[in-house]
Amino acid sequence: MTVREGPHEVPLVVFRALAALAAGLVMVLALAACEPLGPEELQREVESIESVAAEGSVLGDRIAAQETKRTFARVQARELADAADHSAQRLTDAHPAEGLTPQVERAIRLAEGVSGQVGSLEVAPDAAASAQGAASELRSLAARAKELAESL
Amino acid sequence: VKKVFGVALGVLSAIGGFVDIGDLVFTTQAGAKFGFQLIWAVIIGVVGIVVYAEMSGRVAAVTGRPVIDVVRQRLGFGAGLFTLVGSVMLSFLTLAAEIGGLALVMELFFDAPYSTLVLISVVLLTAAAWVFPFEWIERIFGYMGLCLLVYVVAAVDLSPDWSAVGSGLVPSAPDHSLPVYAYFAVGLIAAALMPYEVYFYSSGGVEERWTPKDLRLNRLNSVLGFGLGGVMSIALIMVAAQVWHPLGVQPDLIGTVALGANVPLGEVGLLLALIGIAFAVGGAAIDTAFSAAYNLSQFFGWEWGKYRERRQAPRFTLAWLTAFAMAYVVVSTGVDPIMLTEYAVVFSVVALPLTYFPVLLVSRDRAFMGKYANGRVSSFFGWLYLAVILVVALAAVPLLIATNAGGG
Repeated sequence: MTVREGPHEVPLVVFRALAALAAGLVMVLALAACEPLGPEELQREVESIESVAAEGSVLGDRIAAQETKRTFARVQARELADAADHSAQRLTDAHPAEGLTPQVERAIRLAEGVSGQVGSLEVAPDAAASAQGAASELRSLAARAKELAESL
Repeated sequence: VKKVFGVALGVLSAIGGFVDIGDLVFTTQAGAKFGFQLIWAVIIGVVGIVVYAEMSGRVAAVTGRPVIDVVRQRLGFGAGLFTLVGSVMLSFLTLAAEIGGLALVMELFFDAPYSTLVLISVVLLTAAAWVFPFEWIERIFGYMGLCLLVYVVAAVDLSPDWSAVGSGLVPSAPDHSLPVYAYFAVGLIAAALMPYEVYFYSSGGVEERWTPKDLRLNRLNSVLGFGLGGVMSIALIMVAAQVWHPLGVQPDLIGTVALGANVPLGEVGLLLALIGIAFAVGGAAIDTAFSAAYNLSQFFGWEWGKYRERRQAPRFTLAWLTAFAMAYVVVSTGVDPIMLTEYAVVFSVVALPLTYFPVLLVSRDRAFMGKYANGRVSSFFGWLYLAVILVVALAAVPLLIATNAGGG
């Protein structure tokens, strides 16, 4: 028996095998997407937030010391803010494993805080005084992220 | 002055291997993750590429035959074609990444839309390759790329713990995750041994019409050029180990690499780093575009060479122009250039034995090379590094998968 598909004839057994394979792949992908967020994955995400905060504080220090290029500071701050936003989005979309919800919520707040502070560097990449404040706040956020990552 | 200009080929070839867009980030990540602990891997890679670049340059000077020609002769048409396809694909993917990388660097200068900067990058690079003779291409991109030596100054200015640096010269147990450590070690060795470096280098020797009289120049090029590439890589690791490692930063952006020089050296350091990165990445793009065109032309017996009039080598010219055009299409899809080169480095190792084994066979063949064949020392290092290459080739892909590309 064959299945007609355009000008070619596909044997039914091949057609069924391909359909089963495709359905299997879809199921695997769907299951992977629904898999709850475990402590290890959350730890990696929090470490990313810590990394962005720490780098943002270094960039803020350079702006505060008036020792960097304005355009460079703006673009780099934008990239870092995007990274923090993506972390917040991924965590918001994730389904935390049992008992992890408070830590995930804390991580989301940290990511949003980092995004806000780095975003202020993007908006005013040559404002020394506000950059100093942002750098200090980012150092504090990095320390809190580190603490959270280590607790996981 | 002539001697200084004479090593431009080695410098430009090395820049393609050591400090292209992916390597800059990958090397910085290695320093940020493991401090000074992976310096030894760079040194292993540098010695390997010096050994094989010297051999391939010597073969080109004595016989006038570049590497892919030798591969086809020794391995036959089938295996030669396999190597050709692999190497052209690799050069092409890397070219796409370098064009995207140059756009990323330009974005840090001008804050213009990425897609516009990609177009400007490809136009500038194609124009440079079209207008300048080979010698000027290697001098402009090679020597301007040396602005990256700012990382050597930065590394020293940060007052490193020299005993820790010394400990990094030998492998040691990592602080965390052995597979990730192994992945970065393999990646650093593979980056130094990227096949397109020797394709470009040996073809460059033919472009410069090397003869046996130039064997000293070949040695100087391979040792100084690739040595400088290695020094820049080690400096990048040292800067990252001192600036990013203590803070737990995971560098994923080219701007983070530049910020590393900004911290100890201020705005001057940042500017030199950005200029160096732009020319290094641009040089790597031209390396890879020409490598693809050289290999295709040499394999199929077309007329080739930048030293010829364009109408005398039309298919060679068309090949590198097409490479630029296709790479533009690929990078315009929005693919991440840094990830593209990092994957290209790891997958390139599978092609490494097919490139380097025939070079070793020919360079030690007295019937072919006469009195210029390998001595005992060259042959010893050649075989030793072939073994290293095989280990790296077998380990690369499993480590890539097991470590989630170094992410752990």
